[in-house]
Amino acid sequence: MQDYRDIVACVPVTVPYARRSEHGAAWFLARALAALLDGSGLNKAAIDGLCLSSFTLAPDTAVAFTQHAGMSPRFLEFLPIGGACGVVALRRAARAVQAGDADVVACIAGDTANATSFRDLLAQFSRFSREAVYPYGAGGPNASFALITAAYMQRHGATRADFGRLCVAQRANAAHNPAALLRAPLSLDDYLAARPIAEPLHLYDCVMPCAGADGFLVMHRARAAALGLRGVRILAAIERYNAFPDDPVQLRGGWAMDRDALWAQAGIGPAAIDLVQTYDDYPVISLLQLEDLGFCGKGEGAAFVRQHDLTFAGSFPHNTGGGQLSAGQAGAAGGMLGLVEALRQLAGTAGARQVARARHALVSGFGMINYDRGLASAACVLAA
Amino acid sequence: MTGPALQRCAACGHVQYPARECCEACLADDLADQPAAGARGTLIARTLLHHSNEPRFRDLLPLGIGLVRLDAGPIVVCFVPDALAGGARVVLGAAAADPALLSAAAVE
Repeated sequence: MQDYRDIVACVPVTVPYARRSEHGAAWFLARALAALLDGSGLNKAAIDGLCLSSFTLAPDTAVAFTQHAGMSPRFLEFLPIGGACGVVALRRAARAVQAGDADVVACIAGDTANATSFRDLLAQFSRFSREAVYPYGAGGPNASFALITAAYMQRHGATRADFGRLCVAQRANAAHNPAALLRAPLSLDDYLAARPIAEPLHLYDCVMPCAGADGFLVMHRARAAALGLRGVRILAAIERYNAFPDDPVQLRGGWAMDRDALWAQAGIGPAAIDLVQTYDDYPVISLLQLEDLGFCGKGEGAAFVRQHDLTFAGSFPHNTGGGQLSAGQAGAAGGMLGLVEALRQLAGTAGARQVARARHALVSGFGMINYDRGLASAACVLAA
Repeated sequence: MTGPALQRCAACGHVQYPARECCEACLADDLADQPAAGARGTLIARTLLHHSNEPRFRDLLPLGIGLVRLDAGPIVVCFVPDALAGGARVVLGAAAADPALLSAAAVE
């Protein structure tokens, strides 16, 4: 794989999340784009590439958004791949800039949320889901992740308290993130006493849908320097779809197929990583990422979270802004949340939750429960 | 055919579910339906749903849902009314609530 030398990501932006909104998805995406202009000093015409992810923009796609927002980009990607969209947008944008197909690429992801949008999304999420999951009352990711969690607990002997440690640490991180929707302190007892949703999942295992958007810019390092922007380098990146289709249940993801290539391209290993942002719509999937990306062995994720302090000031800073479990899941923006948090940490602009000596970050993404498992996985290694 | 079907590929014999428009193994399009009811398999995991986004299911809660790996290969999401553990041998049948849906019961 060609490297990403001389390409940087910069200007992480977040359009404040809201539990519900009367605005459409295009409003959130437009606010993200405007924030990227404000943060970079560029005018709209200078943005000649766009990577866009959204569910509730439908029936529109990225093409329609160019007219909605009055843009004329010469490079365009619509990435309806949910939780992997941040890393994948970064890859697409970086290659476009390397190839000269665009000079400055805006990567934005966002969605709205209202009384019916989430149910409508679940009912029509995919053909397999509509025909063979939703009719069983199990539409949406709760049941799928409950089955994965149950299988993981039975296979590896993990307990609810193990998952709880991860959720409690993220809530502690969220207390230092004004943008997180869920900031009230959460104790392990609170976690364990929560009402069941889809056993073994209880309330605090389940991400809260909301509205919002995130974004960042990708450009040549020299361009960022000329604009006075603090760029973050891309050391390596991977993506994979429908990995291990013969596994009866998803106890590993595509990261396990590609992690050797990731670390080889990065030129560093897991021990050199100062902070990790996993995709966390449910805690079990974060454990799978930690295992599959090599931070611990297979089945050792529960022991790993028992042995480490996962807060931003701890021995293994993880989901340092609170992750989706505490910030909320703003649709497709959930796939970008970890990336913008890593960009802030590596630029030293994470404020009260800043990780000390943040030089290298790993960000991973996961998405699209098409039937019984998530089909998209991606990860990147970033350097200050 | 009434009730959910598995698809068998006439070209390579691969059995798949949910329904596709091609064989996922060899991409042939000559696919024959066979009843899912009666198929045997192993329960991989079970959950008890206490919440559903679909109003018509709310009266049925809590609802047992499971993941079954059929001996023929496919993975099926279906009702699992009984509190069976992963690894249990099961057979698929029509669900009592709706014959268009599948339910798994322990093999005697």
